[in-house]
This record gives sequence, C-alpha cells and structure tokens, in this order.
Amino acid sequence: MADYLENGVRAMEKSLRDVVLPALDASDPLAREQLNLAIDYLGFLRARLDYATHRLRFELELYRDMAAAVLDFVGGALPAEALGAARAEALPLIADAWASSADLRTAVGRLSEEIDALVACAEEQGDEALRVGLGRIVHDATRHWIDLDRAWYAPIAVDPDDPGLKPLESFFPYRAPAGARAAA
Amino acid sequence: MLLDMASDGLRDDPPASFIAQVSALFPVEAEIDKCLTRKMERRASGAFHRASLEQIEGWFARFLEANTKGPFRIANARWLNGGASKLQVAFELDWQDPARGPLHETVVLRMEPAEALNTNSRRREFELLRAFRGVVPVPETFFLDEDGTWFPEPTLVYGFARGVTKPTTTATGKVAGLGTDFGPELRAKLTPQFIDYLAKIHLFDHASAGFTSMDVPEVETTQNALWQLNRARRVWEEDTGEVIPLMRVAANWLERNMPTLDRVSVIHGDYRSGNFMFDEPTGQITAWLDWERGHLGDRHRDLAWTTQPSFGHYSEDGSTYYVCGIAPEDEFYRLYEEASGLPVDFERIEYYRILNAYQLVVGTLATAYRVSRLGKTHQDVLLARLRALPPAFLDTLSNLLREKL
Repeated sequence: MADYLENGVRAMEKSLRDVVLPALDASDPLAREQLNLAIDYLGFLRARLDYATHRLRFELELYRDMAAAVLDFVGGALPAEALGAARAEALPLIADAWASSADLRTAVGRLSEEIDALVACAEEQGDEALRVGLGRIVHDATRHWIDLDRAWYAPIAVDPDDPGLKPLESFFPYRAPAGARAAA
Repeated sequence: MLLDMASDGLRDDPPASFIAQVSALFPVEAEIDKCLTRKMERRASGAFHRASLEQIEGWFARFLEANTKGPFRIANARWLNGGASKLQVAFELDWQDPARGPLHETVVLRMEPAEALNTNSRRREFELLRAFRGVVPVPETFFLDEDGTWFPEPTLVYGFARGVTKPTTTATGKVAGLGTDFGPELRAKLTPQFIDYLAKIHLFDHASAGFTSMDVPEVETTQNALWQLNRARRVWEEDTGEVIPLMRVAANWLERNMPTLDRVSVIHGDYRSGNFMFDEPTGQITAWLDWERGHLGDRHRDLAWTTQPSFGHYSEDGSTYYVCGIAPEDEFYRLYEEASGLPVDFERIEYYRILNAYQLVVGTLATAYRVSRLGKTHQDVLLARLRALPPAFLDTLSNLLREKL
C-alpha cells in the first residue's frame, strides 16, 4: 500500500533542495542555513513518521512503570492518590489501539507531573530516606527514556556515532529494563 | 513549591502573577532578573519577523543621528550567520569618533530577536567587551542600544573580528566548536594562548572595572552557586513544555550541595573552541566572542564548561581526549594552574559539571521549544532542531548524578 504521507514529505525535500535552494540569494547565508536545516528536519521527520505513536506508547508504559515503583516505595508516606489515579487511567489507553496521540500525550504528562509532585513533596518533608529513594527510582527509570531519546534523535544529533546508541526499533514494543537499584 | 506544571497556555501568555511568582521563587542577579522579567512580559506580543537589511540600516542610521556628531555613511550591509541566538549584520561604517576623528570601521550589529535561546543582557556584554579590550583579544565596542530605543530590540555594535573559528584543512564537527579538531601544528600554537587568556579573564580586577550590570557574589558563601542555579531553574519553569522528574531530582541535589565561593572571578560563560577566532597562517587568536553568559563568580564554572566532553575530541587512535581540541584534560588543568596561580578544586568542578549539564538541558529542551513554538526568532528551525541535543546532555546529567544519589 502506498505511503502518501512519506511520499509527500520526500517530495517537499526534493523541491526545496532542487528548486528553492538554488534560487536563494547567495548573499543571504542565514536564509540558506535555515532552508538546509528545514530540509534536514524533513528527512528526520520522514524517518520518524512510522514511529510517532510507538514512542508515545513507550513513554506511557515507562511512566506507568516509574509510577508503580514510586507508589510501591512511598506507601502511605506521601499523598500519592493522584498518582495512583493517573496510573489507573493510563491502563485502558495502553490496551486501546485506537487511543489518540493527544490522549496518550496527556496521560504521559499527567503521570510525569504527579511523580514530579511527589519528588517535590519528599524534598519539602525533609525525610532523607524518602528523598534518596525517590531520587534513585526516578533517576534509574529515566535512564531508559534517555536511551530512547538518544536513538530517536540520532539522525540529527551531533554525536551520531555514539557507541552506546541502540537501534530505535529495539525500544519497541516497550520492555521494562532490568537492573534498577533498590530505592533504599 | 510547585508551579502550574507544564501548561503551554500559562507559559505562552504568562499572567503577571506567574511572572512574579517565578521571580520570587528563584532570586537571581538584578540584571538577569530584569532581562528574564522583560522576556516574560513580552512573551505574548507575537512572533518575530526578520527585518530586511534596508530596515536594519535605517534603524542604524536613526541611532547614529541621535547618538553621534558629524556625518556618517553606512554601506555594504550583509547578513552573518553562525550562533543560535542573536541576529547579526555586518556593515562598513564611516563616522566621526569624538576622540579619534573620522574613522572607517567594519562593524557587526548584534540585535536580539524577540526572545532568544539565551536571555541575557546586551549591557553586560558591552561592559565585558569594553573592560577586556587590551587584556585579551576582543572586538572593539562602539554602540549600545540597551533597551531597544532605536532598534526593535536591544542591540550592540562592535568591530568585525577577522579570522576563522575552525581550520579549513582538517575534519571538524558539524557545529563550530563541537568537536573541533585543530590538528597538531595549530594545536601547539593555540594551546598556550587558550590557557593564558582564560587565566587573564579569571585574574582580572573586576572591582576596578566599574561594571554596573553584574552583582558581586559574597565569598565564603554559596550565593554565587545559588544565583546560577536559580537562573537555570527559573528559565526551566518559564519555558518548559514538559515535566521531567529527573530535572527536579537534579535541581534538588544541586541546591543541597552548593559549593562556597573562594574567589570572585570574571566568568566568560562560554569559553570553548568555536567562540574564539584565529588567524590560520599564524595561529594567533584574534578575538574572544560570545561573552553573553558572562558573570562574576566561580572560575570552576568556566573550567567545568570548557572541559565538558561535547566540546572536545579524541585523538585518532582513541587514546587521548583533547579538551576543546586544545590539550589533554590533566595537562589543561596543570597549565591553567601554572598560568593563573589559582588552584583547581575538582569537587567544585564536579558540581559545576552537573549544573552545566542541567543548564544545557534547560536551554536546549525548554527554551528552544518555547521560543521556536512561539516563532520568536529569525532562525526558528535551528532552535527546533536543537531538540536533538538534550539526550546527550541528559545522559551526562544522569551519569554524573548516578553516584551522587
């Protein structure tokens, strides 16, 4: 089946490169730079079109796992009802193949905000064990997201030859990483 | 205290209460507070549209009419690219300097866009460039429109610096300064200058320079570290489009572990390859540029910035890492201590490495998003594309924090 979106973006790249770029005023380096960057970004966009929803689903599952670890750790020591609710509300979205990108994005945002609120709360309470444990959970769980983000932006990154880079496809479907430290 | 999380609506059109709340939560130097407050107050004022060269020339003429005496002539206006922040145009200028009489200069007009990747002070940049004239190679400063009276935005005019930022004959990184490889011959010429100028900046007598745009932090206190941390935290709150809990974990660690200041130095703020120009045949540095992140503070902040991995490269056999393409890291510190007579404290460097990584995430993830989302510059695509950088900076931040948590 034809991929008309990919085709359209590819055509834009070609038109901009073959027709528009040579017609630019040679004395305007800023215009040339902007156009070259735009063409470059279109190529990146084309390479990521098929994976946009995969990424959102990865993030949703990662933050659900992070939320589970946070909830398990804090128990009743912090007011975590909102995080529990956000986690519960995210579950049907994971099962729903038709969930919209906007809904997935909202759910990811809500989970990350509630986790962040608990990190802030632990800091304010001054409970050393709670603060350290939450910090470790967040730190270790975020590692997997950073790895995804590196792979995602590799085509336009400054360090595309980074030996630690994993193929983007290896992140999908989401699998929880092993090896997180104990929170306490 | 939590603000209103990552609401785009709030940050695209911030009410006065939000602006005041962020300012109160994260106290910074007075000049920085003024600049950041101005940024937020003007945020909802619409997108920035690049003016034509003719328009910019007209604004410049108006400025010269109001601020100089005698005839002047502006010619050969041309765009300059490079950098991710300010709009730059070069001119040939004939004018009457009150002290020196008629002059011909090639000048660079450096105007802020409506909102930049780095919100900072043109007055501060002007003061620093003027103070360091004759101390290290810097362009001569000519004019300042601090509040955007004659130009649409604050504008600085200084002399055109001749030279290159990277050699034309060896492989270099995609962006000037990131991984620049000078090659052995040029490196040998640049290394002593690079170190010596950094030492001169850090030893500079700031008290006699008459700076009005920089607050002096108290020694033997954590005030300096707090100002720099607060500046980054405030910008994160003002600009972010998403919540990343690791950023709060990092900020909390940074706040709990602030080092005291042993000595007040002028800090360049972005001292690295790519920000100096040199004459390729002789290897002489002709100008240090980009003083816009300058402040009075801890020399370890500069040292941690200069030595961060993304600005250097490994030798071809992979055995030696060159700081900014200049010197192996241990040699860099040894030469700096020799040149400056100032000790290097690696605990402080470690702290500022973490703060620098945090600040880089703030700029490339939060600010670049907000500014390009609102179309606030003449190079929005460049800023949107900077989203490719935070993974590496977050990786650095995560690795540095791992053993601290």
